[in-house]
Amino acid sequence: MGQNTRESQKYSISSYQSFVLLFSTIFGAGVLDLPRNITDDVGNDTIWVLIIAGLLVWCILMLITVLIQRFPQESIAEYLIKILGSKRFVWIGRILSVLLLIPIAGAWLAGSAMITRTFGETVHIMILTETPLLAIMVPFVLLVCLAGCSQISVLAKFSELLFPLSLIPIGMIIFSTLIHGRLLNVLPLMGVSWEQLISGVLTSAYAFTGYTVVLVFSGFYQQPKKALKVHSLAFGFTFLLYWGLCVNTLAVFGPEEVTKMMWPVLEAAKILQIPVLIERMESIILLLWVSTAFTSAANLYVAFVEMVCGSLKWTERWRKGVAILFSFVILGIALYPDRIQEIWAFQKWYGAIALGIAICIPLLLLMIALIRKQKGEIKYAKKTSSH
Amino acid sequence: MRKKLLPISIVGLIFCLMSTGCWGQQEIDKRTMIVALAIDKNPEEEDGIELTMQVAIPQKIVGGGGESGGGGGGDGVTEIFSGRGTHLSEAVEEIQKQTNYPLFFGHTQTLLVGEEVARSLPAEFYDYLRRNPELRRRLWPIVVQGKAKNAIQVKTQLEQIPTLYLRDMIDTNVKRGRLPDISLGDIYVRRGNVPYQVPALHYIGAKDKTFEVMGLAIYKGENMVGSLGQELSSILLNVVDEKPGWAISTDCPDGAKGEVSLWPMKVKREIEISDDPAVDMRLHIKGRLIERGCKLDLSELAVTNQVEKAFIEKYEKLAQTLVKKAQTEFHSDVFDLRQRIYAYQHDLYEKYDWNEKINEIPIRIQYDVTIERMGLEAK
Amino acid sequence: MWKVKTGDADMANDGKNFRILKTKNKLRKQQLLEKHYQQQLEEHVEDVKLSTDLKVEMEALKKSFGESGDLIARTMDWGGTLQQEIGIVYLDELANKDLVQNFVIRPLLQNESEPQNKGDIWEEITKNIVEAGEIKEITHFKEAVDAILMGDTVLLMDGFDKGLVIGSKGWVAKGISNTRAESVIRGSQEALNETICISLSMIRRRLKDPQLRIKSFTVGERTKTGVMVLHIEGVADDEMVNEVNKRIEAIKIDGILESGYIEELIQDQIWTPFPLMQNTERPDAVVAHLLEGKVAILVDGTPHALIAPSIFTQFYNSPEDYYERYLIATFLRIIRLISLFIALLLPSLYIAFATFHPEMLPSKFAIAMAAARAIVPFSPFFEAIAMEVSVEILREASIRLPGPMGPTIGIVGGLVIGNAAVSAGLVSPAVVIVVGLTTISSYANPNFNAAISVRLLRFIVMASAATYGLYGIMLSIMLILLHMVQLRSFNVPYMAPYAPLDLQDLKDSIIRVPWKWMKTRPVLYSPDDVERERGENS
Repeated sequence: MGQNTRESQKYSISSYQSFVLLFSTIFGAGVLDLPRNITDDVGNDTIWVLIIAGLLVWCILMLITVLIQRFPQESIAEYLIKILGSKRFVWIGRILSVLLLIPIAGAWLAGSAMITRTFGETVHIMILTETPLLAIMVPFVLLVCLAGCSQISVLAKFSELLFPLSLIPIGMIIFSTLIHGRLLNVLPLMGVSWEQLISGVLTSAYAFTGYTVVLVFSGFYQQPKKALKVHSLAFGFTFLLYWGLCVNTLAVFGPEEVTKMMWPVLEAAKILQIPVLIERMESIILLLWVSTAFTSAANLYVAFVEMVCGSLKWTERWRKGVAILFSFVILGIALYPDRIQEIWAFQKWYGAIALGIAICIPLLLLMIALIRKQKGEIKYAKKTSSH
Repeated sequence: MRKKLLPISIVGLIFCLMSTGCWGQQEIDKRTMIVALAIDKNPEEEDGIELTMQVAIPQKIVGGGGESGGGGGGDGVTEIFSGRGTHLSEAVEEIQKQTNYPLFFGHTQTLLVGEEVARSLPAEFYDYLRRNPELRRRLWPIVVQGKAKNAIQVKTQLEQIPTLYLRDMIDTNVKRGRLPDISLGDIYVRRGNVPYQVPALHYIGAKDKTFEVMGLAIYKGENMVGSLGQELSSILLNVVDEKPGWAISTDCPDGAKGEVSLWPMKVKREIEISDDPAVDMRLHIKGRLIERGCKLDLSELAVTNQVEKAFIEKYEKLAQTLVKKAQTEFHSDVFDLRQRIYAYQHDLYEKYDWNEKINEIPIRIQYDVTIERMGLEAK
Repeated sequence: MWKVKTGDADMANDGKNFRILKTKNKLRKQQLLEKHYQQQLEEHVEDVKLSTDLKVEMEALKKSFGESGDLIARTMDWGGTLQQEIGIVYLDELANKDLVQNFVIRPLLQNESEPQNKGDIWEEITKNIVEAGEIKEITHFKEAVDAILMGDTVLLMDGFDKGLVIGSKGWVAKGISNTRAESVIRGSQEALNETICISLSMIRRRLKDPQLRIKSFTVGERTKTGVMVLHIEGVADDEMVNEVNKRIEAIKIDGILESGYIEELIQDQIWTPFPLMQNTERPDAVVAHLLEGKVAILVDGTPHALIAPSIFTQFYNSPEDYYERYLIATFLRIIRLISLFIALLLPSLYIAFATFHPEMLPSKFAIAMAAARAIVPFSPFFEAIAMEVSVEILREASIRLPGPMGPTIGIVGGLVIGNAAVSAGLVSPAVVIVVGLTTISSYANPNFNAAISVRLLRFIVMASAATYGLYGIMLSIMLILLHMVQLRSFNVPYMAPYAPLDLQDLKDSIIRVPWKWMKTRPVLYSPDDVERERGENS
């Protein structure tokens, strides 16, 4: 029934689905050690440094959304060529666009690998201590590969189904803070120097990565005009959860202890109890984290595959091949660091570089598009029976 | 082909899994389930500790294994293993040499620390306990009067596994507000705070077939410096945790012969740290009268007020004793005041060296007692 | 060896090509075999017209049925002076003998009229004398054979090259019986019938809408099974109806014995454990689905009708949900959903907790479980698998046991065997409870084919639990979800209305809102006529 043609996929993501997609892409494994990373840099002032970081990322996201809205219903691969190319020399456009797409797509691929590795480490250290890391990551990568073979609308539905699980941290935050939190641990708020501030913001940037996927997903939105509102909502919701979790761990453990723990958020979950039924909440939290980490990694990978297939104009048949091929790359990157400290360093670098890419490229594109007065048109959707 | 990807990947996955085996599995009954740990000073060496573990024997527990259950519980349901070493991991390895299945800390309920060890424990002692993902942070650390090994060998009658008896005992008292809600995780947290202090811990004595709560063990910095009995620990709990503490008795007012007893139910605390520096605390206690040993007509408000005054006197006297003890005998910040100053009045904190200053400044504690109810008797 | 008839040039060369490409040859052999059988089939039933010679035709008919004893062929003379020979052919057990004898043969024999010329004889007989309600003229031999096989009577006349088919279907059919697998407490107990006309009658009685459209197909080369596709015009989506019709027409198979054949042949994807079309034997359920804009497929020979398209929530709904009040319906649906999770996950959770994560259980429970397992020699995984497989075998056995013994054996067998196993120290009591709960939960599903899929998936989840513990359970759940989410049943997403989230359609998913709020049909099926209720329902 032609579900897999590009045309039929054009109007396949509703605004609720775009909300869920953006949320599940950002909210992933980066949040587990976020409290430790920030508190390491700025101590008790995490509370408001995180807000600043959030605002910064939100501005970047708005920038990207404005760019998207100029070219509704086109994926970045398509309008990039329009922006950069000229009518006379078509090949300039193609080469330049490939040059710009490589860092964006590469960031997604690396991000997917990072999440796989971080998550694998978490499971290996906390839950399945005997199982080798490779054995934990291989099924995960297999699933990510399987997801990569599918269309974006499939991933959207999948994220929709798993979205309610992500609401569990809300309950956790509330209960944990009320029962075990102490205001004494959170105060005092001392000032921080500029270096600490910048370092803290950059560190938290890693936890927020993933928002650039809207560059690709927006090609399939049904209502691009609502994108600003929807993206803000999704990001705001993610940010609130992150902030809540950070405040929670800080209140329960205090700044010193938080920096000593590997994954403060998991430990905070561990001490919660439902009397009689479950003595340690970590089993539920782990289930939740498998799904959030997976949705992040899978969404990033799908964006990557979509970008590759879209820019090289390959047909749907090649999607599977690309997905399988690059899943080996993911595994390779994920296995590359040997020690935990290397992973942390990798994270910091990745966060900074991804932030840089996210600021520069869309800004550049937007400016060029404004200068050259380029715009896309909205084509209204025909009545399709279902999406 | 696209549609066959799913079944093929499943089959492939199953092949891989079946051929390589399952790694982390260790069945629930093939683990040595450690329910309690006890740490003592190594009797033979200068340095070092002796670690004793209490292990639950599944077969002997009544209620398991279909129809062929074991005999009555109590006797021989748990087994004790000991090991010695300079630090924890060495001692654990010693014990691992004696057990058939791997040691499993997932259900460890209590950590018993002998008094001698508590007084001389180094700071990095807890490192092993922290890194192990199996240990729960909610387990109770308990200081034992005398040797912890004796406590761990107590065989209780009411409960098959003695550790569960001890754990339930502490749970009950924590809920009633007679013991502080300090678990292992809380120790880590408090140690991590800038004004470094291990909080007061549960202090237990081991008796013939049961345990007895002796009060609280007081720490200065890392090491134990003394203990508080039942009455003084009530005061401490009132101040630090806003918990009611134990029942309190005092002589009847007006010189009548006999005592009245109060069971405190609610505590409200106000602390004011002035810039002198001096500390002022007001504690409001609401409680229930549980026994009247002398002739008094409590249906009259005036009489009740007199009784309340008697309780206030008693409380304040005890508080003074506690402050004196803390400042002169223990030299320790038992009221956890440094943390408050650090958090709420940071400039004041920067002015002095609070390790010493806390023992010098005046701490005034005032009480206010309200007898809400008297039980079923109207007089 | 078989003989091939007329000139097939390729066959001659076949011997030479044999050694060169074996696979090519295989395909070739396949094609040739097919051709041969096709020819055989058509040999019997060539597309020739009827001839004017009655005797020849009667002989040909008898021969094509292989001189079988149940073919009744009677010739008679009609009309005094004209002496017109008439032949009547019908199958003994399929035709209604009363009708044939009383309304075809008797009028012919007793009729005295004498038409003027030969040409008028045909008109006279077919229009005035034969007293049957359904008649049709035919010209080809094949049509005659088909008609006889349907149970109709063929009337041939000497000197005319056409024949008359008289509708006389009247075989012995089963009466309307109760539903076996889908009984409800409140509601009708009638089930559809093996004879398609009786099924159709039940549906017509409940849906007296002239907009009900029925399209008949004959599927299956040899069985020529009657298949009817029903939809309500103006309510069902035309595109989907066309798609269904197209797919049924495209079926090429020699026999359709049950609607299951058709289901498998027209469904979107076969590589899935989930059913993509629902089947039901209740006529009221069929009508309800038709009213929502779906298409129903009736198949002759089976009381099970197919409903297309079908989505996941449908398989956990029972018609009773609409007959009882909405609070009860909502409660029962939630219970069914919980039973789905239990049936899928409980054994795996047991394996995961007992093997990998005993620290996550409450301490007293963990020690009790360890105590229970202490004397058992097998691993939890093996215990669980062994018990599950035994229960599945018991289930299969209990279906085929006669009479009242069947269900009893299932229950008693389970209990007794479980108890004996526990006493012998082969399994722990916890496993017996787990397996018992799982079995009961899988019975809570009103649809057999959906329950089966969960039973299958349970083993996959158990295997991954045995390898990776809770992590494995979560991975397999995600794998299943990923698979379910991309399923489509006739272009309707399988997981709707959960994903894509459609608030309007949620009103009839896990909850069922009162009727006065269900004003519109499910948007999912793109009905043309969206409103269910017009006017006020207070």
